[in-house]
Amino acid sequence: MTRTLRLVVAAAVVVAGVVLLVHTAWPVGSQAATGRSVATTAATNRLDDCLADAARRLVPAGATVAVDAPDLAGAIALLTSVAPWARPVARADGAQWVLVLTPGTGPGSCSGYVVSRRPGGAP
Amino acid sequence: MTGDVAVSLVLLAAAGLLPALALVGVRPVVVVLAPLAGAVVAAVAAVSSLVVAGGLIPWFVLWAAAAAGVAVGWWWVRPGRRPDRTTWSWWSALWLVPVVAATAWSVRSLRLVTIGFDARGLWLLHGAWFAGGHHVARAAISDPVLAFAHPNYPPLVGAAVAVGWAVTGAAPGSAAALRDGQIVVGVLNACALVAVGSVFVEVTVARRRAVDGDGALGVVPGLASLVGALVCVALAAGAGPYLVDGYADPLWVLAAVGAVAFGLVLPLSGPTLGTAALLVAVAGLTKLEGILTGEVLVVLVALRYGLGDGGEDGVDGARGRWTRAAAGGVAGCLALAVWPVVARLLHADPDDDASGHRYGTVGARWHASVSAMVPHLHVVPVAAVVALVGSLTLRRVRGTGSPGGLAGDVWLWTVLVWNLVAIAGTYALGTAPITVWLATSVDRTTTFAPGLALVSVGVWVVLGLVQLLDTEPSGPVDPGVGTGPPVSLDADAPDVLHHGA
Repeated sequence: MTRTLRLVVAAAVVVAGVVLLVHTAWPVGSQAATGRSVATTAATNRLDDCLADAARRLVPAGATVAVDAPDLAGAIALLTSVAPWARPVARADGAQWVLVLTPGTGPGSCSGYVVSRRPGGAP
Repeated sequence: MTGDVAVSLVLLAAAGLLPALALVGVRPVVVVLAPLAGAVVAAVAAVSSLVVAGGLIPWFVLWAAAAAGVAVGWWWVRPGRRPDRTTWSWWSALWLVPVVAATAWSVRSLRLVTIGFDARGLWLLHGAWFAGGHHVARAAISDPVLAFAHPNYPPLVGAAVAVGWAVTGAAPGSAAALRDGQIVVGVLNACALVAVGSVFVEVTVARRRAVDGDGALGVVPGLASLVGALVCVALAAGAGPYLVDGYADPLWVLAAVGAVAFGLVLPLSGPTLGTAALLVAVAGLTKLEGILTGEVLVVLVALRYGLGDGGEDGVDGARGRWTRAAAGGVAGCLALAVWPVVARLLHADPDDDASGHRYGTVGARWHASVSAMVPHLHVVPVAAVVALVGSLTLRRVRGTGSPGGLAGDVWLWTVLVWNLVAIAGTYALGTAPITVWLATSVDRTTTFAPGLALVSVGVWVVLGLVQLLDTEPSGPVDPGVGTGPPVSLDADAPDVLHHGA
């Protein structure tokens, strides 16, 4: 391969590589891809933090807790909120407290949900 | 809160500084490798607390002291590697500035409170377990109610965050603690990103050293640094919001990409092997995919070492080289296997994605998996073309096969292909409903292969610049007759990555 051809191919590799890198890097520059997901995550964070605050006010740290929610997503959200400081259990009769998630609005509600408690079956 | 984050990072960096210096030598990139090494120490401490007894912090202090002792002992045995006998230039720090700036810009969303679903429900929850000490962690890991938190996932992220929580007294699960955790994980991601970005200047330094001793480097390292910065931004784009929302995926991906770059691209030397080992440890202790990929990486690096790719025989010849390769490879593979064994012995709930009734046939799941993965891999075929053209035309510049030359790209692409097959195979052989599983994970599980492809492209761009700027000697560099100093794997030998200005 002649020196000229080598240089042409090297230039092509550099240009193609830089174009590919810039193309791939572009979403970070424009924030187009991440802006929406950041906003979505922030909204979810507000709901989760609100649920966690409500649960903390209702149940003491270290207590055994079961959750009662209208759907799986709600149950996991509530479980995730209490798991760092309480002891989640599967059944209400084995829990000191049952945290109940129900749709509702008003003071203390979290994005259309209200957290309340009732005694479980454990002492 | 900022103070608590600073405490966490200082603790990690302090625990990791001496081991990182021992593994890598004195060079600017140690600043980002130290917190990563500290995170490895935290993970080992978490496993010790979980398995034996006691709290996380006593184990963290014990293991940090042990690691520091081993580092000092290493320098006593190998005085040539002592920090006070290692030289480096301020130029090498200057070349890192664009990479650091690009990384900082890429993680600027860390200023926002964005804690991802898995970060809250998994990774930071593990931190709460480890911060609670032996009894809390032991009860949690085998609690079926907590199976949603995947207790069998490796401990590094949770442990790294828990060290800060335990020392500052943060209440795990509180909004402030979660925010601290988000930032700490984001900073560790950034550290791994800078480590990857530093590779491209090392490429030019290694090439020059291989063909021309300590000859002048000219403007090439500066351009390579800009390429490294661009690769960092591209990798950050691939990671997307997960880079800053507390997820563990970017950390294992970036650490593994860095490990490939240091272990399977740059010329082998004590520092490159040390950096690769550290980054493999980070990847393997962060996610199960990191273990799977790390095992292959260890085998390939050992194979490359045994083959003497880019290096020379030491005093004990090829037999000694293969003995060391086998010993290192076996030790690395065993170390990576420790966490899965511990998780199994402690009855960590098996991953519900891979146990129980399988939805659909393996063939149908494989087809669905490949179909879902392909849209995330558009970078890979383009990078493959660049790599093919580069391999055919820039081989002399790459110096593959000559002492101190870069490894052939085939090593990197072997890991890439393995990873894609392993990911598709995991989906196919798993049991969870495939449509939901793919929809909730495929954008994260497919970031490693494009990351490697981008590194391959970045290296070829740098080598193309070397060719264009004609900074190499005009004659061919035949294998085995390089004019540079011998690239010895002896730790006392001159540092291959020494930054001559």
